[in-house]
Amino acid sequence: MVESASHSAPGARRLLLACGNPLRGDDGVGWKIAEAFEQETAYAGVQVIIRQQFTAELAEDIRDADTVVFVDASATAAAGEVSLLELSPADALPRILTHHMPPASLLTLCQDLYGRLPRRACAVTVGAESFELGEGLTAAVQAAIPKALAALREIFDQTS
Amino acid sequence: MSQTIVIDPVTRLEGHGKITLKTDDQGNVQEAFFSVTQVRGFEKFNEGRPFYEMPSLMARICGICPVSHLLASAKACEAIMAVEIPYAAAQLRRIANLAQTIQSHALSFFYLSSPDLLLGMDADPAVRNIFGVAKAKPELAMGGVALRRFGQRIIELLAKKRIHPGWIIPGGVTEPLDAAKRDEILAMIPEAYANVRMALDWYKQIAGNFEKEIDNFANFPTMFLGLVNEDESVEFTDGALRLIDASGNIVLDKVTADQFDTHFGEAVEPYSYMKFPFYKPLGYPGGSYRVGPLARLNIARTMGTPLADIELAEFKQLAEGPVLGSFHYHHARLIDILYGIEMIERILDDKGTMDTHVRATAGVNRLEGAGVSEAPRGTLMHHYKVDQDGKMVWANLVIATGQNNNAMNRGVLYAAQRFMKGSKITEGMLNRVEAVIRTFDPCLSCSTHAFGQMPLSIELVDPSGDLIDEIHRY
Repeated sequence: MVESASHSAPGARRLLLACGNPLRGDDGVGWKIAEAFEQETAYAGVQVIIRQQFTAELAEDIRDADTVVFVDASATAAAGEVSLLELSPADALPRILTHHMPPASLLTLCQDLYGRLPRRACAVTVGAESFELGEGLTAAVQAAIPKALAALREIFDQTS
Repeated sequence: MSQTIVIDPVTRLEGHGKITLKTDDQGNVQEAFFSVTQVRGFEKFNEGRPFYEMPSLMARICGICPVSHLLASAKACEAIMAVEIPYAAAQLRRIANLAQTIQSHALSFFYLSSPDLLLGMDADPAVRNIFGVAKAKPELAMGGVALRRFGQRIIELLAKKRIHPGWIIPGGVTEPLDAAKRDEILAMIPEAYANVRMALDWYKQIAGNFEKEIDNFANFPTMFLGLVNEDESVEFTDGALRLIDASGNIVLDKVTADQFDTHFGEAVEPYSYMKFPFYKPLGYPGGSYRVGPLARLNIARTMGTPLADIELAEFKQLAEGPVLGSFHYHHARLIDILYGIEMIERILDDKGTMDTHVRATAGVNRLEGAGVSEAPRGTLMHHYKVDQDGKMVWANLVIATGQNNNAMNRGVLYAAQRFMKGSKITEGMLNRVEAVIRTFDPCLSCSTHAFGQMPLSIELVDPSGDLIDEIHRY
């Protein structure tokens, strides 16, 4: 389990940001999806960053991206349900900020700090079944990974 | 009618805490208790584990300063092994520790405290956060983001992971530094200098706007503890402990980690899981002391680097003798960052740092060992006992935030007496009481070995114990 940041060729401006805690069951599905996507040579130009949380520093990476896709588990969707959500900067921001930040807030921070936003920002989520302690995904969530990968391919194909 | 005020949760801190204020019949605050309400048990569950697992296990206490725990733990293990680690390993560990200090201080100063400093203690809490800073002074927020990334990137380059790396091990580190990584770090240094210079210049301009806070935020005589080198320069990773009194007189000097228990004890209060370390000859609470950036600058004669030494000389002009006001922790934190950048550059220019021999090996040669280092928030001590097979039989951790516990409680009381008026808690009052604690940048996760976010509550209670008012922020 290693947080990672693959670095694409200079000029590439497509970004995949995944987060989650692989020690909390299905919360690690974002990692699994991102790690699988990194292996797809057709998308080697997409920069993949995997973190346990989305933090303010990522605003710098978003600044340089034309397309950014956040990948994470969803605590509200049905188990294994893959969703695509278009994102825009948040109006209402969290009052307590220490280590983590919702994607829409990160977009706001990016806009305020650097005066620019990606042309497209969206989130691909997979409904989780269990966040209990332990490694490994439930069957329904594991089975959803191909669909999530297909969603990512479609997004990045549109922006290549 | 007297009351008790509870602030729960305290915001923009690391962990979860609660403040309880008790008033008399006239509404004057008489007592204050800063409570940490969760426990984790890291000192207990390791029993029976092989001692060499301790760095990786203990680092899980905290995601902010795992490198500090890795270091103190590895040093305790090396005392058990009775080994001296290779020079390059010691140098690389120094870089990692300083990088962590830089990123942690950047989080504290820019993300958590700069909203108060830039927008004011009475500003609308909806904008008094990093987003508000980004709108009002984007270069300050960008500088914070960049410094935090600077520290995290160095840790990532050295140890492969920004959080909980397994690179620091008993005996040294697992991998040497290669030239490409060294050059990447060196290339980032000019920007880091520019960002901390900007922050220092800005802070010194605005500090005068906070005279009341400077006077009232935990501004009282205490002793100060930290690590120094033989030449009395600041030290984060090695060196020996020095304790000074509130007048600057040296009380203890050249104390090694294994002598810590001889001089210091830990008291317990019923309202908090966080312990209260104290200097034994003066007892508890008289022997309480402070650690962290303010203590480091107070106990050292020199930073040992040219730019930070200029800042230290200016800092020491703030008082005759030790600087006692805890508001100045903010200033000291920035000087720590500047020092850290200078030291990282210096260490990387040392050819010995690039040596590929970075690990010593040994088995159990002693049944007890202690290790000490300076975490961002102050002195951190790990103390272990093992059996003949190297299995852990006992552990004690003395955490930086715990060593500031008494000062934080006193600071909350002073600020509450100064700023809390009447039975209703206003946002400005609430924030000032919280801000006192924030100057210490407490990390409650490891100080109590407690897990959680860092929200906090304030309760207002009358002399009979009835709750009069309360405020919660999550």
